[in-house]
Amino acid sequence: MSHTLMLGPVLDLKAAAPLQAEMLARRGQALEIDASAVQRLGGLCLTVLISAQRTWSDDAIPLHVSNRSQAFDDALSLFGAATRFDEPPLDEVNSI
Amino acid sequence: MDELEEIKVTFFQECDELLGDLETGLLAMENGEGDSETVNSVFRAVHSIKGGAGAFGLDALVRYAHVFETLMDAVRGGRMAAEPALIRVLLRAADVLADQVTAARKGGEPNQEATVAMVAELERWIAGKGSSGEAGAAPEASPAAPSTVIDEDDVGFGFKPAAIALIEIEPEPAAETGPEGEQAPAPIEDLPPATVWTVTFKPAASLYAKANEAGRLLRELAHLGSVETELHDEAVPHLDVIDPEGGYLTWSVRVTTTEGERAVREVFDFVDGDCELSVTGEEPAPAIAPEAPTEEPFDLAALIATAKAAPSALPSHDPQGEPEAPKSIAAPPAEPASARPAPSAPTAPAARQGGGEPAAAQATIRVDPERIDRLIDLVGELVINQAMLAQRVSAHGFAPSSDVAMGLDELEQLTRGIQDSVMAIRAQPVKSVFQRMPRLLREVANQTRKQARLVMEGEGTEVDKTVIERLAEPITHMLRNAIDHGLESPDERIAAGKPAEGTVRLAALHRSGRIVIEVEDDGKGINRPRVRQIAIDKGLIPADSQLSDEEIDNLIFLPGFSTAGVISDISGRGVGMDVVRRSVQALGGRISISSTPGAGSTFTLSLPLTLAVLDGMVVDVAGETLVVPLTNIVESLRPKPEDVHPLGPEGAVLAVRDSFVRLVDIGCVLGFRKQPIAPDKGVILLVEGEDGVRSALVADGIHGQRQVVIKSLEANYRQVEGIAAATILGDGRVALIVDVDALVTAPRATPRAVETIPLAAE
Repeated sequence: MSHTLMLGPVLDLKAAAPLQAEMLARRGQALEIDASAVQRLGGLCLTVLISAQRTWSDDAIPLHVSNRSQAFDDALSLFGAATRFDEPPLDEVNSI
Repeated sequence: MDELEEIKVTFFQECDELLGDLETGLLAMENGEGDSETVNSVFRAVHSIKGGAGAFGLDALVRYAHVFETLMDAVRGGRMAAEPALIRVLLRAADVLADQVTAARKGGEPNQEATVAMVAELERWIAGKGSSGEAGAAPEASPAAPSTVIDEDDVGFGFKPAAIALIEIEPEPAAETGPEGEQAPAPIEDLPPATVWTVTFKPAASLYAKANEAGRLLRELAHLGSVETELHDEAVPHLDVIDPEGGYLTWSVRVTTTEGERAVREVFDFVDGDCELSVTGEEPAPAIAPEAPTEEPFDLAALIATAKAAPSALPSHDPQGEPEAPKSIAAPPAEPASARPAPSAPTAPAARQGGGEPAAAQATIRVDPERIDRLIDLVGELVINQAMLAQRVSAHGFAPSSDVAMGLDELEQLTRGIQDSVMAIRAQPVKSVFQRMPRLLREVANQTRKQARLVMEGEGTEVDKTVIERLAEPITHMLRNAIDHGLESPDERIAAGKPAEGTVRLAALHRSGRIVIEVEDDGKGINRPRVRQIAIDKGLIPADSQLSDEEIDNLIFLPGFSTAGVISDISGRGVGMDVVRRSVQALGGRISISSTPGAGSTFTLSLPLTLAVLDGMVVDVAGETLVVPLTNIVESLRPKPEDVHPLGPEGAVLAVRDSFVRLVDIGCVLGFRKQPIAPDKGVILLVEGEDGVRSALVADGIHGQRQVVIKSLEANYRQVEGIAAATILGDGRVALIVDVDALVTAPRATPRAVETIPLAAE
């Protein structure tokens, strides 16, 4: 059963440390990240998300970003990471 | 979130500086001194405020700054002429921006009406002249104007429609990694050939900490032309070890644009030192070639040196110009910086490394003023202590040439060096005070329906911070008076044969160890008969008193001279001038006025440069030890009896070379003794007052020169006429510091010298 983490609307400098803490608290569990409310995504929170993705992947536990808002997708494109969270890690990881 | 609060405080501090720059730049433009760099600096100031405000979610501020910025951008891009009417609007827009910043700092709401009105006005300019003017005819200007595009990310949602109208001529802001043609507007074909720049940048943690955002930089790059962005996240560690506020990501962006390297680097202007940056051009456009040669000799030598030392470091600068930059990311910043190829090599990429200069960016530090104050206090104690030591050494009979005495001399020089350096830390240019004045002038001029221009001189004049803080109030008063009561209405001015616009000059300068502030207007001057009549009516002077013009002018400083009702009638000045004078005097300063009817008035304010230390002559007067500030003393001498001449019933003058100066017995003026001593029995200190008039102070004896630490008499006791402050001497006793100007102008300053001078001249 995967847990869902709802991302806040503004993922800027202020949000980076809390985001890390929230995700760390869910480490070891399959994680569904809901990005539907995201209005702004900054470089730091992107880093945290990438780090989480890497951590979960190495833990062989699924992590998936779903319900991406337009702003979230736009930001990923801007950062050159448009496809960064596209891969469906759930299946991939399950098959490992 | 204390850290964030701290950053916010820093942001607002920077806002103050930026607002200052903004105003300075606009004023320079108004005076026709603005070159393109000035326009750029104005634009950058607004842009930076907007950027920082966005980071803190100060949406109202961002929205307003954005409209302002859009208009500035049109000016910067040459699509709008910086005509005087526009600059006046921009100046007022800057005032509103300052209000917005103030409101944001206090967490309150800015004046909505003023903001809405200003936004409407700015938008009228943007719409009226921006889009129907040259912008439409010359669309190639638009790629040069990255920031005209709204940064949705900065401003949240719901934007002003007028600003959006401009968007249509801009490239899409979104940095899709899609094909270039998708974003390049058709007119780009008419442009000079596009260059492909490979920008590699790695934000450091400090970039984010300063509320900058990598996304914004990427977006601005995207505004230059088409971009392909590649993210390198290999350095991102696991979640449990990551610093959530660290800089792990690196981007390499291929920007295809007609802009030169400068425009590309400009994107990173605000994050200089906070990121590793390299910009590599694939097809160097001729436009950038002239920039390079100046650095050629050094680079060539460095290149050779680098090649010899570390051949392996060079591959990323292969002449084939591999634009994808992962290699150069891996390379230490120093190599790309030095390995700059000569422009003569046609296929060589013009590599430059901005990241190699972070040290230069840290040119200033911010220090809590309290720490400096503490340091100054300590240095003050050190000076006192050093004086005590010197006194003890001499009391023990060491010869001046002895090791101890010489060591002490060196200590004294060191102490003085430390003191000067510490005081220099606290010294600030008066610019910070002057900067507020143009706005005051505009507001007062608007209120009084007068036209006024402010000319400022000597803004770089430095003075101790403690003095700076107290300068603002008197200057504000003097300036307000100059416009309100000094300048005539435009009609009156034209009738008097003057230009409709009045000029108010605000100047700061150093004069004889003090800072002098002058506020001069070219108005009608003081109506002396009127001022005199008012003083008589109010019982301040006897009706039959004979006053010189200067004395009449200075009547306005008398307490009780002015009331609001009277002031609005008279042509002179006087609103609260007695209050101003009192506050200035409390600082050991003086204020005076001179006026020429029909031509204007000048207020002169003089204050000590510092309220901490002074060099003084320690003298003996009637058994008391006093300190006379060295800055006032021209020379000291022992007069010959025949040089003393009686003057009038109770005065005396001293012949000094070819001139006569008035004799003033310090002891009499200060009430230490009833009868002055014979001048030839004492020592004469020839002093020069503020007005340049010399006087001869009579003291009993001189102890020598000493640097003394000023201890406020007002703060510890109360104000004493003729005494500026007190100090602690080497032996621990308190000595009074004489206020020379007050002494020589004091009513009792005329000693009854004649009676006691045994020999009259003859």
